[in-house]
Amino acid sequence: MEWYTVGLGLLGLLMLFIVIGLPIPFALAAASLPFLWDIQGWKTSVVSSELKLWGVWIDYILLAVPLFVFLGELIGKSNIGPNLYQFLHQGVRIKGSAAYGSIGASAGFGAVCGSSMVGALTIGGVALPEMLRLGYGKRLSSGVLAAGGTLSVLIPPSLILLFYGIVTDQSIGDLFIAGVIPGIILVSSFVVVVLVWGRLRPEDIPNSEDAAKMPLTMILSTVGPVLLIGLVITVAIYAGIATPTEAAAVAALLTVILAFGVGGLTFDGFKQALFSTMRTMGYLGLLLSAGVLFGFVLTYYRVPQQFTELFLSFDLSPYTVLAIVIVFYIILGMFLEPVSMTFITLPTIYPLMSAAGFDLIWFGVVYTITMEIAVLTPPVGLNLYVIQAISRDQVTIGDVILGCLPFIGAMILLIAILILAPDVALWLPDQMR
Amino acid sequence: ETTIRLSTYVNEADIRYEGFTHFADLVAEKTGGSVKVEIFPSATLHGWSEGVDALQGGVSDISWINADNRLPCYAVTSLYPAEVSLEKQTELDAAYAELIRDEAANVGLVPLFNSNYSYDQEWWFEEPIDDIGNLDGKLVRSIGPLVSMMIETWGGEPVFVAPKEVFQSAERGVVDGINMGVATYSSWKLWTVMPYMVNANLFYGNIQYMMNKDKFDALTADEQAALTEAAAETEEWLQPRYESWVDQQVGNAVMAGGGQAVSIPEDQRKDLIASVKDKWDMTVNESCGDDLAEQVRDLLASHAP
Amino acid sequence: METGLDRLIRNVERVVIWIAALGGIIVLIQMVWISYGVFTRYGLGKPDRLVTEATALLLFPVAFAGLAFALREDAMPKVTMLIDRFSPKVQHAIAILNHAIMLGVGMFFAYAGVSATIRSFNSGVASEILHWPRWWFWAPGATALVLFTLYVGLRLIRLIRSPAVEGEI
Ligand code: NA
Ligand code: NA
Repeated sequence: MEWYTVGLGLLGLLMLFIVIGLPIPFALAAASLPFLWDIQGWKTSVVSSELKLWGVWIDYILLAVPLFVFLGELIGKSNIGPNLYQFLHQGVRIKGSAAYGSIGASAGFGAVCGSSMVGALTIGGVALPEMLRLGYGKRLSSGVLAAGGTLSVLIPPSLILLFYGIVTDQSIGDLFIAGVIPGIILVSSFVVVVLVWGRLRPEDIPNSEDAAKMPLTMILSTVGPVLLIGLVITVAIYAGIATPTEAAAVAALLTVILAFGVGGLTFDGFKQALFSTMRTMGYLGLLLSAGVLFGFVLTYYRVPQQFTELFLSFDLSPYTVLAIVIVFYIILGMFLEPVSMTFITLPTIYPLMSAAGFDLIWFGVVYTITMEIAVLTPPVGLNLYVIQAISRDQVTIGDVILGCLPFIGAMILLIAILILAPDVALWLPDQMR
Repeated sequence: ETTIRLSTYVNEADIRYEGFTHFADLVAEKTGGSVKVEIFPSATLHGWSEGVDALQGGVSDISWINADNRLPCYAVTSLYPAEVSLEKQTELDAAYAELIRDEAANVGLVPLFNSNYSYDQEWWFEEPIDDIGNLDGKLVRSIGPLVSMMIETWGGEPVFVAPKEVFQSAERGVVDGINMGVATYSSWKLWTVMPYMVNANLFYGNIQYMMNKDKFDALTADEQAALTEAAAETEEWLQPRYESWVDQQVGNAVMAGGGQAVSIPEDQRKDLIASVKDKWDMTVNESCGDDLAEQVRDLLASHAP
Repeated sequence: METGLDRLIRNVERVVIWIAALGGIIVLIQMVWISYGVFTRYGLGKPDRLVTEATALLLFPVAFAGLAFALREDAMPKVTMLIDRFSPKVQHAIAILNHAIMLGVGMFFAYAGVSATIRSFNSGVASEILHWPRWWFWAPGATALVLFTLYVGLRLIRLIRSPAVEGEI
């Protein structure tokens, strides 16, 4: 078979399976298997599948996946996450403090959690009902919280950056640190969005907020743990105490202690956090192996290489290539969720970016921002549905979508900044050397 | 027409990849195109420890073989504490391959291609080091039982670090030193963070590429001869290129990192090897049987400088 | 009315939850062990010889222990925007088709897992550093894959037997 027959055949089959609602790990496997059988026959393809199941997961650095998921779940199931929001909007008494508090809490939570859905669920679960009760506009409230959740994947630690590093063989530590400054810029631009929103539609932000003051002990037991966990991850990695994987374990253990000690975690909540972790691992386990199998069939026919060659033969300028790739991800991001997208597309796309002369750490940050956009765009936008599910009877999905648009604008602006000034991402990793 | 899939962990920028393309060309030439070798670089067909499974299951036809306990003697002698002269390297390697041919046949494999890295075994440290025999509690990244035993014997602490975390561990000082060939080392740009190299030459090292025996036996006698000759000629062709490539990498490494490279004096090398050899010999006797173990040692001794 | 099939599914689900719980316990062990390893290396200067390879090997069962659980909790990522528009009857048919495909994929991987367990048991292949037999880790992984296959198979039978209902996917 010619490479384009295989490429189009695989992709067509995959799209068909996805469209009929087959879970994506199974769609990837079911699309790959017929081609695998064609290449290798039954007996050899059984062995190939064994090697993919085994080889993919016998990888020490993947230990960070369950550990970071568990860490985020623990924060969510204890009082630490919810209290963080209460602190940020009750402790700071200015107009719109609940909206700014949402951004701050999402950012703080992002510094300890790696998944945007957990971010949106944890902060959104507390903040959305509260903001609506205080009289904030529905679109502003749901938009700021859906978008705030995505901060978890740009501010390290981040599952998307972790998977990106694994697929492209880039340093996880450098990727994490490269996300810091863009993350801070994004947080600031979210604040600006709220500020401008308040000017244009003053009725969306109430004049006074009748929130109760938070006792000092509660503040300490909220901000303290989050700062401490974030600090431990960063210091452990950058002082050479631990590798990133080890830092995930140490931070998770610390979170268990803090969540029980000061976060009011119950044994039941602990069990729930563990089961949620296994639920996520349940689909990631097959997703990774099936994704690698899919990639193996593609590479076997040299589809990524041929595609890259064909693409480069058009002699497009690097920035045209980049523009095409970004638009591709924004469109694909409407329909797929980020982790699946990473394993389906990245093995083909990253050699292209590398050939066009872009730094792969830098592109990791740009890629992650497009993945943030992906969870906010309909029809398949995880954060949209998470936020809508929290206040189902008050907020429509249309409200959430419209509310997100200005924040998506801020993300596109950030991509533009990164293109104009790549050092926004690359300066900090350089300084850390 | 037969297609043979060759699986390697080296990537396309590695000089050894050129060796494999050279091999593929030779095979095509010698067989008049009746045997075609396809190369799969960067471990796309299988992971580091799965060479035997991949070959037995037909996923690949030629693969590198790690220290797999299904080849017990190879597992403990493909890295052996010994001082060897590389003047007649290809002969040494060919004779070594003969010694483990039976063991390989037991699991359905045929040794085909020697990938000698005796030349490329260095130790790298963050700080200058006077005496590698006195590691003084240093944490040194190890790759397996033999190297761990050496590090321990010399007063250091062996640490296992996953390959993908080696760079970060070196950079951030999780470990103080690394045992690793420069070929792997430089491709990770490690030299900027661990610029002090000790060129120790303490091992005979030969990571072999083996072929599925059924696949090999299915070839005609002429094709088999062509394959074996092409492998031997490629080893000959590759040796000087590989060595100068390694030298160049070492030069770059030292210059870029502002560090230094030291070689161990002859008598010290003897002492270092002697300090671990007896213990390792016992392991080898156990895994290979006394006869075969003695043959391996005799072979290495006959190639001593 | 609870049928025999429902009861069977309920019992299998109990096992599904237990297997997920075992996976969760392994995650806790990995967390504590790796942290302890950091402490002995950085704190005491005496690195743990086992932790890196041992915890990596233990990750393999964890990766598949939650597979059936994720299906039970409906946690698999999927795109339902098109099929949501179809009539309950068509949706029912598609649900059957999807379960059949999942069963097929599950059977193939379960077969690969069992075959790998048997072969690694017979050959005695072990890990490179600790020499831990590979089948110790293949066996629980294969068990999880077989359990998934059984579970999805039972759900498929239930789907085929039951009439189309609104919003079942
Ligand atoms: Na994060
Ligand atoms: Na989307």
